[in-house]
Amino acid sequence: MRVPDSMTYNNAIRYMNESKAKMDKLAERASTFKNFSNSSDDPSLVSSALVLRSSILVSSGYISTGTTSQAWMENNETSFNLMNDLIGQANSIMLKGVSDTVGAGERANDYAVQITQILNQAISVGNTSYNDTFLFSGNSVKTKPFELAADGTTVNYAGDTGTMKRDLAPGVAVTINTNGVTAFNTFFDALILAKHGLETNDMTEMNNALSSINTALTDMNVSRTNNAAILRQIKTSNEHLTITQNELKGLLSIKEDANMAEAISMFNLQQTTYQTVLEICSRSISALNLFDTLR
Amino acid sequence: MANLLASINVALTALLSHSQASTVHAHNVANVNTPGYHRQFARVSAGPAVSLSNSYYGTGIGQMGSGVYVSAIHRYAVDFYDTRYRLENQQASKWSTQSEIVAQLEASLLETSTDGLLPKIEAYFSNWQAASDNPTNTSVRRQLLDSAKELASSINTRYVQIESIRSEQDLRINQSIQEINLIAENIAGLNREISRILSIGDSPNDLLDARDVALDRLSEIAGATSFKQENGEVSVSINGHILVGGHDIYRLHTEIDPTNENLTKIVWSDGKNMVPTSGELAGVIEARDTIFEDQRTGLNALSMMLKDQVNAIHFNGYGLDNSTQLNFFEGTNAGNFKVNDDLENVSKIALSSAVDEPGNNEIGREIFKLRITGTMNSDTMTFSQYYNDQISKLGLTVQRATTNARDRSLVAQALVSQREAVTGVSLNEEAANIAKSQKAYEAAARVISVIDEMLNTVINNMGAGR
Repeated sequence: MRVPDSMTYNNAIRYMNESKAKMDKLAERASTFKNFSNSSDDPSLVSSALVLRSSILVSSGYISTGTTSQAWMENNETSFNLMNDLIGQANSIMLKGVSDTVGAGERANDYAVQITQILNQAISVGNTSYNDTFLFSGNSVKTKPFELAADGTTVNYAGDTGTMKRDLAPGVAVTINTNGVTAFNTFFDALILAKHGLETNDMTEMNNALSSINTALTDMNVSRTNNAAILRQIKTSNEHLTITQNELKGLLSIKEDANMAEAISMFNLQQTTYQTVLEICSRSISALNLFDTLR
Repeated sequence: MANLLASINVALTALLSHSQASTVHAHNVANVNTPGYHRQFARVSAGPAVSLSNSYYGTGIGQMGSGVYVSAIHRYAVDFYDTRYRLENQQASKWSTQSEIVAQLEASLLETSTDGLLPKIEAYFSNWQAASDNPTNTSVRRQLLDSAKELASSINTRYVQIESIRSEQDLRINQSIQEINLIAENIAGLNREISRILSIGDSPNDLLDARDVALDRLSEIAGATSFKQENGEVSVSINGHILVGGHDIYRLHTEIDPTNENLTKIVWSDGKNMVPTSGELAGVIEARDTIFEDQRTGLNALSMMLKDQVNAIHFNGYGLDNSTQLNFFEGTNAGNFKVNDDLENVSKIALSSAVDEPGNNEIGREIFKLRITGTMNSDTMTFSQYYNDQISKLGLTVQRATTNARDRSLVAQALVSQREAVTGVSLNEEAANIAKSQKAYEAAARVISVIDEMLNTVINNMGAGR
């Protein structure tokens, strides 16, 4: 086969371009630490990497919801704890109040005052807010839920019965708020009854109030137990999501991140190839031709 | 005496012929880098012989040669390789052009980076979730609004990029059509000159080279094919329609196509549409009318479905200020897709399903659940799955075009090499040929010197004068 000069030059240019293009691609891989820059580099790999990225972002959203919900419910738990102490205190006062050794004056001037203070504290706990939103007012989170009526005979509830749902995972929603009326109203009513009984020295009312205080503890504990159960569910869900997310990140890294040792080795190999191509092309182009030797 | 003069004439023909042969080799050397040049060589033949006679034997003793003459300047050409090369090259150029255009779009979309549309879709829904977790927090609502605006803006940008690169192709089409018409005129002119020169028995080698280069380019641009006629002219056609017939050309021009969004279409001078199936133009038109259209349709479908689905839920919700019946997104396509300006007051973003319930997040929850709901592609894909599929489709298109361009180009390159092997100039070969002509020339000159000495002997050393 004849090898005209144009063929020698054209082939040299083609070999150099092809080799340089491969080297540039490997250099890009080694310097970006990524297996791909464009979807066309490896469409199926890019597609699965993008799916993983989306899954990580989706799980981040659920983890964030879990974290926010957990904070809310821990505040609920703090309120229940405080209310539990107040119920205990009220119970102690009333046990003393119903005692035969206590006189009517002491009941009205001492114990009734203490019960009033506990009532005010209990209402304050019922009005606990977190992030400028009331914990126990249903969906009316900007409305202060509990207020003692002017005549002191009842605690009015200004919230609603709405439930606040939070999504911990696709298809898994929990209610994070507690109905304030269900949790605390028995206690408020019991305290109002106790106060009235102590002030009027009405033993029946005092005994009823004492009984209601115990019922209030039971009522609140139902809500508290429910709160704790959901709190555990949130923690478990978040732990699971965090583990899953780490696994997803690992999978994404395998697909997306270049194996640097391999990338650099391949680059070095291609660099050697390119240098060889340059050397060969240089020799091939600069080889003597007959014109150089004719005299 | 007469024979000696004949010898000088014979030597003279050798001097002239080898000088002409050297010129042909010099022409080859001069054109070693000329694209499309086919090497030439001077074919030499012995001159006509005359019958020799003398007084003793009379006639019939044989014929004596009269020297050497250049009988033709031959051009090396293999038409088969030209045809095969053009067929491969028109496919290679189609895929190469398509790959170049689509890769331009892929690079401008940056979908694999954090600036891609997918992260923005995810961020948008994540912010709905965050707002649902904290429905009364206005800074979270502001974040949601910003992410929605960024999503809308990214969709707009992509739409503009697609439209811009798509309409730029019309400019390219116009330039190609101008080039085709110019080449067609050139070929018609060359046809005229080539047939004239052939008719007087000469071989218009360099004109044939120029015409072959023009035919190569026409085939590369529009997949033109040619047919050589007996008089040496070629007729050129594109998709069965004559472009050049002998000395006549049938021009192409571009027109606005109202049936294709006022984009450019190619029309023959007789009013028929020209739809290229190979060559650069086919690559451009396929990218413009199929690939870009598919991407734009996908973007429109995504944005309009997002608008419809989000609005359908948002419209029935209530903002912190109890505002209701507001759309979240507006627009009629991906180009003018935007967030409702009324929501600049973030209290109007509806998260609640009931009036006066600021802690209610049912609307927000329903909207962020759209993230994992199959709403696209007949309810089989989520928004992100659908766009992921669009990215994959574009990636596969670029990959296919690049692979095809490389494969076809390799075949075309192999054919170029085969063609070059026959037609290309080898400097070594030319050096040897020039040396060969030089030696023959020197010998002829030497012959003249010898004859001159013989004549000198006859004229100056013989006769009564001495």
